[in-house]
Amino acid sequence: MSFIEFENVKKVYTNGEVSIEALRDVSFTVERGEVCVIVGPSGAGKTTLLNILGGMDTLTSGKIRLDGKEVSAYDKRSLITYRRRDVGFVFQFYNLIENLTALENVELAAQICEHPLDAAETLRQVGLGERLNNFPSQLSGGEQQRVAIARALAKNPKLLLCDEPTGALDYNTGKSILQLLEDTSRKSGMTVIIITHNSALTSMADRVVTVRNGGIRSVKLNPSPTPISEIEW
Amino acid sequence: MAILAIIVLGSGFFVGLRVSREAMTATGARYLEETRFHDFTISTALGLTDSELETIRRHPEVEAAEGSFNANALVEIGGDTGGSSGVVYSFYSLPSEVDVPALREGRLPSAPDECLADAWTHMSVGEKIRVAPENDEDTLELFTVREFTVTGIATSPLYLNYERGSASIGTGSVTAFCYVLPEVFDSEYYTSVNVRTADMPESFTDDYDQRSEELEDELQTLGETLAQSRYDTVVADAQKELDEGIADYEEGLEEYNTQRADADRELADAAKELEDAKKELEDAAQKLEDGRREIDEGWRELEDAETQGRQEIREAQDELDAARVTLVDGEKSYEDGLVLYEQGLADYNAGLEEYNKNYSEYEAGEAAYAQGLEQYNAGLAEYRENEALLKAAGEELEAARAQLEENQASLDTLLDTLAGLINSYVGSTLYSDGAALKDALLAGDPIAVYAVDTALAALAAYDSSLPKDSAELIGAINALAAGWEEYNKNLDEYNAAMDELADAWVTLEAAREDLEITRTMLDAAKAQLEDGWAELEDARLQLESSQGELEAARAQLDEGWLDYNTGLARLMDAREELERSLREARSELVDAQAEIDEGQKEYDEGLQEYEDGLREYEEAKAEADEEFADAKQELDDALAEIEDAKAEIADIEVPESYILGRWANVGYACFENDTGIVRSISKVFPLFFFLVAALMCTTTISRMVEEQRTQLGVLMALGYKPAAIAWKFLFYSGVATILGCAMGILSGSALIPLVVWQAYKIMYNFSDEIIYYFDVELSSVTFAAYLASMLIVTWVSCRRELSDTPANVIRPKAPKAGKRVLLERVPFIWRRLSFLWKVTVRNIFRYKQRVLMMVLGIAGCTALMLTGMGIRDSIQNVVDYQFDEISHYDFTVTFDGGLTPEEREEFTSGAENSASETLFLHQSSFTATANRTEKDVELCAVETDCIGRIEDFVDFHRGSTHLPFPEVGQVLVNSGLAEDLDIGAGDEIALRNGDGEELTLTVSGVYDNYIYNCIYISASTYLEETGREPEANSAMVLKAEGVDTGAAIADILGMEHVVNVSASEDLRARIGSMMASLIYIVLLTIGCAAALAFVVIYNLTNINITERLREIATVKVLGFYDKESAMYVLRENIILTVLGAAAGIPLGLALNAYVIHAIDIDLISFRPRVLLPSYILAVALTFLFSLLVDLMMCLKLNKINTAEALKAAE
Repeated sequence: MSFIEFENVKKVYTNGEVSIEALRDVSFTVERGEVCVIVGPSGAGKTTLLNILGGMDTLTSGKIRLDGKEVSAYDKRSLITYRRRDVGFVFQFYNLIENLTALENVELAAQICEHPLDAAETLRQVGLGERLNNFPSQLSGGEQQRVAIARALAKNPKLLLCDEPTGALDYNTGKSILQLLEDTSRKSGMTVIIITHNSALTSMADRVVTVRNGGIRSVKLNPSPTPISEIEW
Repeated sequence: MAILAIIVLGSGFFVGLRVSREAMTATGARYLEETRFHDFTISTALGLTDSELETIRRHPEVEAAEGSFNANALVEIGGDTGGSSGVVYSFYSLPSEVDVPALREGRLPSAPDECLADAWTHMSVGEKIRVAPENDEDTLELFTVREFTVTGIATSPLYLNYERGSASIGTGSVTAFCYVLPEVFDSEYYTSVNVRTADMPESFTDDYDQRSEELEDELQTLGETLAQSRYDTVVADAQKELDEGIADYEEGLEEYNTQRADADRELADAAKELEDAKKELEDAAQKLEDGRREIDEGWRELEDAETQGRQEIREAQDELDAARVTLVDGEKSYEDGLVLYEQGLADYNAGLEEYNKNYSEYEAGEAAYAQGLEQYNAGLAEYRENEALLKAAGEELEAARAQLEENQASLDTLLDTLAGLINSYVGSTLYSDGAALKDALLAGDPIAVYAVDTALAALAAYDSSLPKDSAELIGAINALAAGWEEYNKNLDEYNAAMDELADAWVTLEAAREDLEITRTMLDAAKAQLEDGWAELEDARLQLESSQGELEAARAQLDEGWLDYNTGLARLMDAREELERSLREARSELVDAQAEIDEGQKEYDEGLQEYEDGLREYEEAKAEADEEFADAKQELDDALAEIEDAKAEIADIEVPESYILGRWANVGYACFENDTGIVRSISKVFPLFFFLVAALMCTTTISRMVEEQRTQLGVLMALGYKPAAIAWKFLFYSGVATILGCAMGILSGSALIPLVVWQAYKIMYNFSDEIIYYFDVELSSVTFAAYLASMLIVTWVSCRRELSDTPANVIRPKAPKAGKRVLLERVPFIWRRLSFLWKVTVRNIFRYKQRVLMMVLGIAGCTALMLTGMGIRDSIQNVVDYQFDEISHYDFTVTFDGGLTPEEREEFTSGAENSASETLFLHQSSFTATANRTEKDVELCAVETDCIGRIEDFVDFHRGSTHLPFPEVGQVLVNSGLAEDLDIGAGDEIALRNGDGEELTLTVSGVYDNYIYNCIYISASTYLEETGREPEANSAMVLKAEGVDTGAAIADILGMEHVVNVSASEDLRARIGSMMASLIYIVLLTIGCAAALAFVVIYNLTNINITERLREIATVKVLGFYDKESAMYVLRENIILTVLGAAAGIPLGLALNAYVIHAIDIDLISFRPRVLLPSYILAVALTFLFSLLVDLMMCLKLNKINTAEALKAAE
């Protein structure tokens, strides 16, 4: 029983007469504690996949299981609960609450779940111990993303979903972020799924899922992932 | 689309409401023009005739004039025959030139028994209307026809609204009007002449009012002329009639007199004949009477004579008998007397003898006495001698004694002295006193002797009279003692002699006493003897007289016997005579009686004849008298009438003429007032709407521009010129505005007046539709304003983006930076807040502009609703407030002039069924001036003795403070006036009336009052200022309990001098219905405010959400439940709604106050008031809308596709 299971997942967007198949019969699995990178060209359906996994979207047919539970069968409220407790999101554009300080942003997320980690501690862990009381506008891109990660981590989720986390960051900053993600996964055994269109990053993953045109092209396991610090692109 | 909606609402309401007033007045004016409503109505107390009508028509200002008949009468409707039950109709003659009714249904009446019915009554064609028989004579006589069939239903320009006026009959109020042909009225004069003047401005405008006033003044002179002419005519007619009447009367009087004279004469003759006859009969009767009487007398005389005769005889008999008895008695007495005399004589002689004896005894006694007396006198002389001797001896003794005593004394003294001297000389008490010394001396004591010698030798030097030595002294002492002895012997002798003398006296005394006794006895004996002699003398005389008497008596007796015998003989003769004469008299009397009886029979016949004649005469006389009495009565009545008529004619005064403009017509005035209200409201309200709407649109447009930001950026990047790009937006907003305004203005101009008119149709039925008034000016202005503001805003918003670099513009706008808020500085509160609250607070301060807009928008809408309701509160409760707390009186009565105290009494007692209390006062119109502002007021002057009662009628207070009645020189002013003239207590105010009288008074206080401008002063103030007593031309009346108002009004109207009665109830009702119509407007306003609120909140929230979509999506993604996510956004809304509502309340109050003050109606001054329920309602509604919007937003929020939202600029 894999930690995450996608089973014949299909997602069709209907807009009047037009139907777009975003996902076609996707099936794959991810094990606990893995760093899984999903790659594919733009518009391949990666984000759709992540969204459905994250409970932000619903599938048209098929099943998705997380830790044995059939997430795809959840009703709206359960989905929200699922999202609340079990999933942490990291977005490309950070999506921090501008009106809250870094600490408050993390606390915001922490306060709604059952077993949160200490917000300040989490921030420190991501290296922002000095910037607890700064507003996002006062933080650099990287710092903001760290806050976002801290926010996601503080929830103590089963799963961390990152959609192009380094997309808005420069090379070095991006690298450090990825490093953080990697460390988190290794240290706390959290399952991290990263979407990216940068194929160079695949080497850091334990599993690489290639998506193309709404379908799974390939799923590759990487027994010895390269640490981020060694990857150059 | 929200923009469109807002613009439609804003412009529509603005223009619509503004235009409503014009529409209403236009509708009204059109109706009045169509029906040719009068500009003036002219009347006099004597009415007007065709000649006056001609005069009026000739007046240069008059365009058309028509005479009108009008009368109120009780009516029966349809099949009712059971009486009118008090329903009163006001009948009018059907006019053709002025005040022509507007036909709704059917046709005009063409025959006298046809009529037009009042559309308000909902009668139908064919129904019957009858003038009820229980109307009074005068009313019934006014109508030549009394039953009418309805041929048509119409409205009348005289009655724009539902009020039909009051009447002095029936229920007190007129139910409906009814038009009949002029021929129906049997009246010589028109009730009024209705006039249209030339070139009048539009109705309901200030120009019209001004022109009307000018013309009214001009027409006053015309009125006076008419009144005068009317007066002349009436008086002339009356005088003519009177003269005719007088002529008739005089004719009649003459005839009467002639006929009377004839009749009298005939009767007099007849009477005379009867008199004569009567006289004759009387004589005859008299004669018979006399005869009878004579006979009776004769009989009586006969009887008397008989009786008397017999009596005399009897008497004579008696006399003789008595004489006899007397004689016999006399004989006896004589015998007795003789015996007595004899006896008496014997007694006398015996007495004489005794007397002589006693006399000799007495004489002896006298002799003895004389002797005794002599002896006594000798003894007494002896005694006196001895007495004198003794007395002398006594005196000698006394002298001797005195001398002895003197000597004794001097001797004793000397002895004492000597003793003393000796003692002192010796040096001890040798001799206790002189006595001891004496004893010693006498005893031959040598010491004593020696001592004394010595002492005396010493003393001799001083006093030579003293003894020289003791021997002398002793000698003196012895001499003295001898002297005393002798004295004592003499004394004894004297005393013995004295005793003897005393005994002698005693003896003398005894002898004297004896003599006295004897004397007394002798005197008594003498007296007795004298008495005895007197007695004897008397007895002797008596005997002599008795003898004489006896002799006389004898003689008398003898004479008496002689007379008696004579008398006896004469008596017998008399008896015989008597019998004979009686017999003769009797026969005479019987003859006489027979004669009388015959005479009586004749008399009876004559009497009968007379009586018949008398009866005939009396009958004839009675008839004649009656007829003449009637005739006389008629003549007297006629004379009285003539006198009355003369008085009446004299009483006729030149009547008042009344020139009344349109303002006097209740319907017109009410309509004007109502349009005034609409205008007032329309002044302020819609502007506010406009502003709010404009503001909202501004926000929306700028938001929209921002939304389109990326597009804008792209266009810029593509190379489009900024102007071109801007044009796009301008075009969009411009079109929206144009469309919106067009729709709004058109629909507003159409709908809102319609709604308003629907509301007012409750009261006004003269037109079903309202004229739609398109105010080009206003619409254009509105249009331009909206367009301008929209375009400007659009341009400004665009400019901001357009001035930026395309690249920046393309990029989504950076979210606004977060910042610390002030509240964070208060850790106490800040720490307690949960996140979500922290976010909310920070958000509020972050999006200041939006927050401000939201708060303003909500505040504005709360304010509008509050104002809407406040208007209703302020206006509606005015009525209750005025009549429950200020004006307690039920009626105000207007009289035709000042009432005298007697007239007041009459009124009070006459109206006592309807009025429980009456207060007379003076009321007249004045112009009040202060602070260079003028206002018309009603001045009320109250008599000093009524001031105490005024509390029952009007409650003067300001807020909760009670105000006292003003003093002399002061005036109590109502709140409305005080506000208009900007005066308060202590300020001065000048009052001036049409007669030029002026008063300058100090304001004593300002009392709350909403209806009419009434100011109060005391009668004394009036007198002081004008020099004239104010007339009691008005009264406030409290209705009696349990009495129907209409009946009371009718009752009071029917009283003398009463010209008008207005009931507070009616005013209350009128204002109440005014308010009822207003409710619709208010509801409309509230509705629009609500809609606006809704739109505002929706719009702003929408913008808010749109701006923060990403944020919201993030939060959702984070795992916030739907509700939590919603609250995240909507929490702000709630706070803002609270703030907005809170801000809206004072704003609403201010706006309310402003609007209320702007409502300017003549009658009423309002006081801004908002009741608690209104507050609650306004706030509640605001929250309700906010909540509704929030709910809608929730739905929208839930639909947010988080994935989409977060994708953003990918």
